Amino acid sequence: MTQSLSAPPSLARAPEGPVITMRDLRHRYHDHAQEAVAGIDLDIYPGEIFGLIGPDGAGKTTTFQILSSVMPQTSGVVEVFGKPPREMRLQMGYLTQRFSLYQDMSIWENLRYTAGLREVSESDLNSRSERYLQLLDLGRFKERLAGKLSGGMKQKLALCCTLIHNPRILLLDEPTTGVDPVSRREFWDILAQLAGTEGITTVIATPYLDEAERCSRIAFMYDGKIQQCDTVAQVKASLGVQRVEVYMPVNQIEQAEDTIQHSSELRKSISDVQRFGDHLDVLTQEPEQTQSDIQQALEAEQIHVERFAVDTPTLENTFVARLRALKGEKPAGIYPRIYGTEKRTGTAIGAQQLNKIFGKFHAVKSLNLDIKYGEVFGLLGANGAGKTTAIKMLCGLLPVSSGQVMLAGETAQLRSTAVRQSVGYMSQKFTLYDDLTINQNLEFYCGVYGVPRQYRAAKKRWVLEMSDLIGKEKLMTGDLPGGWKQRVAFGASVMHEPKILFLDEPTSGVDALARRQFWRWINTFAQQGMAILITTHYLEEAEQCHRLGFMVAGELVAQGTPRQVKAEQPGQLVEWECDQLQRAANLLKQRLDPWRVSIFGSRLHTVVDDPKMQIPQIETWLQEADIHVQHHREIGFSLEDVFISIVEQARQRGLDVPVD
Amino acid sequence: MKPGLTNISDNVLGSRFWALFSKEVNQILHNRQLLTQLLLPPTIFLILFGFALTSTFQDLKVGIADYSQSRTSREFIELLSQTDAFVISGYYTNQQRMLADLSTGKLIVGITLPREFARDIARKRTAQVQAVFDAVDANTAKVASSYLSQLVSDYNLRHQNNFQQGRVGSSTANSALRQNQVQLQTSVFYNPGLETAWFIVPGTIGILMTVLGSQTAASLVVREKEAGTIEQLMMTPASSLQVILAKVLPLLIVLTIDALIGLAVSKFAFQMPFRGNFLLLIAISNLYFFVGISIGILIAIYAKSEQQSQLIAFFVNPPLVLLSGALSPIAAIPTFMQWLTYLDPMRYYIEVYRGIVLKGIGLDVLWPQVLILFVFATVLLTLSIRQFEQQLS
Amino acid sequence: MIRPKRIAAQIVKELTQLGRDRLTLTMALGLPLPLLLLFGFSNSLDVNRIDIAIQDLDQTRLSREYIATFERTNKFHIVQQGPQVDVVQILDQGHIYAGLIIPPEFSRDLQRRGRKAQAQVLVDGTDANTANLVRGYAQATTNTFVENLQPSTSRTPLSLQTRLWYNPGLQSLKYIGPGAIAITVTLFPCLLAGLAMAKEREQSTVVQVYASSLSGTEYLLGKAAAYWLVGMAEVLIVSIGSWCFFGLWFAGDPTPMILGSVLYIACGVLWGIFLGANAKTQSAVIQAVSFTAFLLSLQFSGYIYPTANIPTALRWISNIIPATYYIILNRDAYTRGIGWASTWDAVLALTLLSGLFFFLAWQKLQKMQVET
Repeated sequence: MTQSLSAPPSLARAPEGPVITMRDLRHRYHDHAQEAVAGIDLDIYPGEIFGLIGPDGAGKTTTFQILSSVMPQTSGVVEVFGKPPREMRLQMGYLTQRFSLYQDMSIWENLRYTAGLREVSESDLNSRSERYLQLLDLGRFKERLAGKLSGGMKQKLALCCTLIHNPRILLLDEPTTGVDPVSRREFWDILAQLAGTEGITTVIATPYLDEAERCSRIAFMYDGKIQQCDTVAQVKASLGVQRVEVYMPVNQIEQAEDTIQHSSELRKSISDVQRFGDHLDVLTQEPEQTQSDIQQALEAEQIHVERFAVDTPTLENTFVARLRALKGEKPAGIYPRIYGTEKRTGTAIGAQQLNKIFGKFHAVKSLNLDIKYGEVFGLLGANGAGKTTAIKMLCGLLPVSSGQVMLAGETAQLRSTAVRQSVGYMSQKFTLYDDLTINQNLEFYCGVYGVPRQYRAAKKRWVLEMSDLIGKEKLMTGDLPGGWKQRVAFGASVMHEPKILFLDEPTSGVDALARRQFWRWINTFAQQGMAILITTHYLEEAEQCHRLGFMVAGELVAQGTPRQVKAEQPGQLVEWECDQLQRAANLLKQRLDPWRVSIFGSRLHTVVDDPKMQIPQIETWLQEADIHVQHHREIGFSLEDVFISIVEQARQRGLDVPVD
Repeated sequence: MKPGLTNISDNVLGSRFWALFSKEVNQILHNRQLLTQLLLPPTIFLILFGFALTSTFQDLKVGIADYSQSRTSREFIELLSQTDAFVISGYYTNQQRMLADLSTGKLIVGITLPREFARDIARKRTAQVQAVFDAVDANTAKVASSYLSQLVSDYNLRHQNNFQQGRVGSSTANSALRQNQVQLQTSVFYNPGLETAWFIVPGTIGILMTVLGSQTAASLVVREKEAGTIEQLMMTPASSLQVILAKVLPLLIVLTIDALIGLAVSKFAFQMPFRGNFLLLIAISNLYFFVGISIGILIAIYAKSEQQSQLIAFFVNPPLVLLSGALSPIAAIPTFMQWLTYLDPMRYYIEVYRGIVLKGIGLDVLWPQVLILFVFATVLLTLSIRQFEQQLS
Repeated sequence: MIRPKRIAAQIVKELTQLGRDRLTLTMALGLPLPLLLLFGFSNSLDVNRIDIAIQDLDQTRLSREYIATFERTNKFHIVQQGPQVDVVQILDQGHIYAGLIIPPEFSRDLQRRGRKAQAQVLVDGTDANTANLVRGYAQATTNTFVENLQPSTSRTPLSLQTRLWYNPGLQSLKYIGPGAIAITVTLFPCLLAGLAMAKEREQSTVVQVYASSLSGTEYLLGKAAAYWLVGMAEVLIVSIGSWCFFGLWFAGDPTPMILGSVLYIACGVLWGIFLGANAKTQSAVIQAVSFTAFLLSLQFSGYIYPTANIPTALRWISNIIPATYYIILNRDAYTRGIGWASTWDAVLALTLLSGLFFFLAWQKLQKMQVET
């Protein structure tokens, strides 16, 4: 049975009845006043890919832990195949958020152990591992230690381990967090295939809402409760609005967003405005009217609208709109400054012929960079492309093998106190001390960067406001959900008003609404003259960077403004809207080069060299396969398309994407 | 507040070092387990060891096979039961049965009095007494045999005196007339009651300070490494020296508290005197803590994980303990190993500790040890800071 | 229900992980030998050289003869001698264990009938044990000196025939050696098992185990068996080491000791697992192991001081420490050689203790769920 996205609810709810049932499920941790899960009722049916989405701390992980029976619930009923989940453990595969692998064992050893725990026979182990390793493209690395795999490969291996005992239900808790877009797509292709060919029921949580579009149904969790549960199409339709994409010069987007947001005239017809990449998504019931209204309002502000496009809202639009409605709009707050904003000019971060070699492994090859003050530079690349290594060299944490780094005007003494005072750094994980309270962490960073005492209260207040943690400053940092920690860490890294800021995947695991707030601050800081080097796996965010660099296998293969890199892409991008998305994608991947076909949310993107010839060709292929095409259009490249194609092109040139 | 005061408090409380320091203190305070480990076991172990580790031998189990069954033999046996050293755990009619009990460890010594015992004594012939020792524990056997010899020689002395008295005649007889006598007066210094605890307790304190200092320091540093926060720390303007000192200082405080607990336990549980200068002891103790802590930091620098660091600590600590003379005298170590004890900083600390507490001596006598400790502390601390810096680049 | 396949999987996994951690493995198998030597050689109470200073204020033939008697004993090593020696000061400096002061009238008093010659020994009492020995040796030496002066014709009423069984040479090593074997193998099986438990919890890989249907008993048996194997390897290494370096060899039937090793290592591993299951962090385990397993075993097992020396109020601690019994078994195997007759109770005690520890660990691991 092939699961399609546009399948109506009646089809998703197969006659067999639910495989997972939850009734008034509640859970409270012993030292917390609030319930983490506050009464969930849910039925999940065979063969579904069921998505659990929600902001940080909504109770998703708790639900998974109860469902997988690794933790008993406080009250309520959970049944899997009509029995308590504890008795059905062999029918389930559970992939935890992190650390589900033994880093010091090889791929094969990890598999053998998980299989052994579940008494998988030797022959089954061999045949299944053969098949899944093949499917996940890990077969070549059987002897490699799990700790030495890239993030994407680790997650694939973890999936492989959860599959080894042939479970009928997969529980996947944020399996793709921190995984690059290419690997993420591969991961989902496999999930879709498993649901399709083996009828496995999947429950998955993800902060990436474009992925969540591929679920058959989703539940939107907030505050331990399910706010909405339906098919993706229904959830999106429930807003009852259309989406108007408004294109304009990138540097004016924020101003335009504020203008639209605060114009009482416009607010009557507009339900929400969200920045998405290089354009604004305006949600409205009357698209035609809104277009002209916006045009007018923005012209008045000297903002030239380049073009409009009307479409249905994305899941991300829906999520952000719902979350805003639930949380209420909060003022952004003002960043308290102690020191003046005298602007520095010239190069903030520079690199010339930078190389890093670990043993035989060439991690960074001849990197050249020139990042000016007031510039946001995005360093993009797959997991293991050398971004983090490059950043560590640029900020002086790692000695270079050869080449030269210039940081804040210094070339020799990168580690001098003066340089470090003017640099802010947020490492990929672990910026904060888990065993200190939030307040103590902030106090520490204030103190260690020498923020005068009379200003500290204001600084800390700003971080708490920004991270939505007012009143929770006494909490232990280790108890915070990952996304929240990231927000505090971001705040902590800029309290001392640095001139240069390094952000290594700051938004990893952060929910869509909070990420938008992050970027508002990043843009504000850049306007005030800060040089910012950032890495991210959310490529729509990266549209907001002034310049971008794409790294593949330690090499900077493309560099330029987002428009430049998009313009440099060969071919034309065509977006398709059709039913049986996964089947369509699989089919086209066989006919075209696989990299030319990728699923974007509920759409299919194809890169073609000759649109006039190839579009009718593709249409024919799809029709022959009984796939109904609702709509297609030629669109500009998004950065994500660019990313996929750059990585693919590099692969074809023989640059092996490294695994460490 | 006066502006001057505000300035000072700002300078201190607003300083980078204060931030680092209070961070460490907060981390330690949040870590209940660590706190308990730092404060509870020392107290317990001090008391346990102090009471339990007595090397004075009492109640050594004696078995007696008395074939003589006479008044004379019973007199001799009476002598045995009068001392604290021996306790008679059984009388046997059969020597074989007694030796069987000896072989299973029920007796330490088996004494056989032969049938002719009383007759020989009466005829002024030398009577034979046979003692068989279980010498598996060589030390106990040695002590037991020397006690028994002493007993026998006492018995002889008494009998000889009686004998001489009898021969010379009652009128002039006086044992004091004997020629060639030496009376050896023994004065025991520092520990007149010969309390074993007075030896064990300072040694145990030395061990605890070293083990706790090095393990905790290693744990604090390596945890930061493992968590990855160390990178973040290195990006701040704080220097390695500040980072390390901020880690060391709270530990110094905790260890000082431990030392005070140790002193209190010695005083109240063991009635140990404190004869020297209190402040001098605390000062030198802190100097020594630097040694232990630096060892810990060095360990942490070479370890990849907490587990590894603690394993290395297990590699480093036992030699330090065993070669320090903390629990057994250095003179009891084979000579070639005695040379190694000079490389053990703990040896000097324990010498100083015992010197100040029990002997009441001061710097005028102890300066060589203090100097050596100072050199150890400086070298190790410098080394650990240098390695710390190097490792981060 | 216990399914051997799952246990086997658990064992293989533990050993694989241990094999990957080169440092730990090297430590676990390489460290015991140096430790053994250190324990064997350094833990003796035999003071074989007592440093002494002598202030001879008499300086006559007799006083010199008296000093020579001290020299001849081999027990004393005279650091300084002469009329100017300040015994008390040297004692303060800690260079000597004892000081002998021979007064000016020594020789005169000795020769005069009816007067006792006086000599004074000052003993450093900080180490009571050594002080006792020193005192005894000094007295004995003085006795020898006196006896030599008067070629006595008088006969002693009583002569003591001393026979030392099992260890006629009174070699400390025969006593300390077997104990050192036991103490050396105490640490690592317990430590490694405890760490492996805590590590899985700390890194939350244990959640995967919970999610599988592995039962608590299987988990426990798998983990215990893996580290038990490591422990047995260690026993073998240490035993060979003691044969080579201490010259120990079986004095009789070694089977009680061999069975005892099996049980003793099991005790250690199970105790480690129990500690690991209760601890939050790896460092907590290390502290707990080093205090409970290592230090207590070191001091309360009768390894250095016989358990009989421990005050009655604390002696129960010795009775619940497996090392106490294992040391008995080792001493029997290497020194006494009696065999089962004298050791069956120790083997029984070890069996009971390993049963107890198994129960403790088993109870802790029954839940197999995340604690909330």
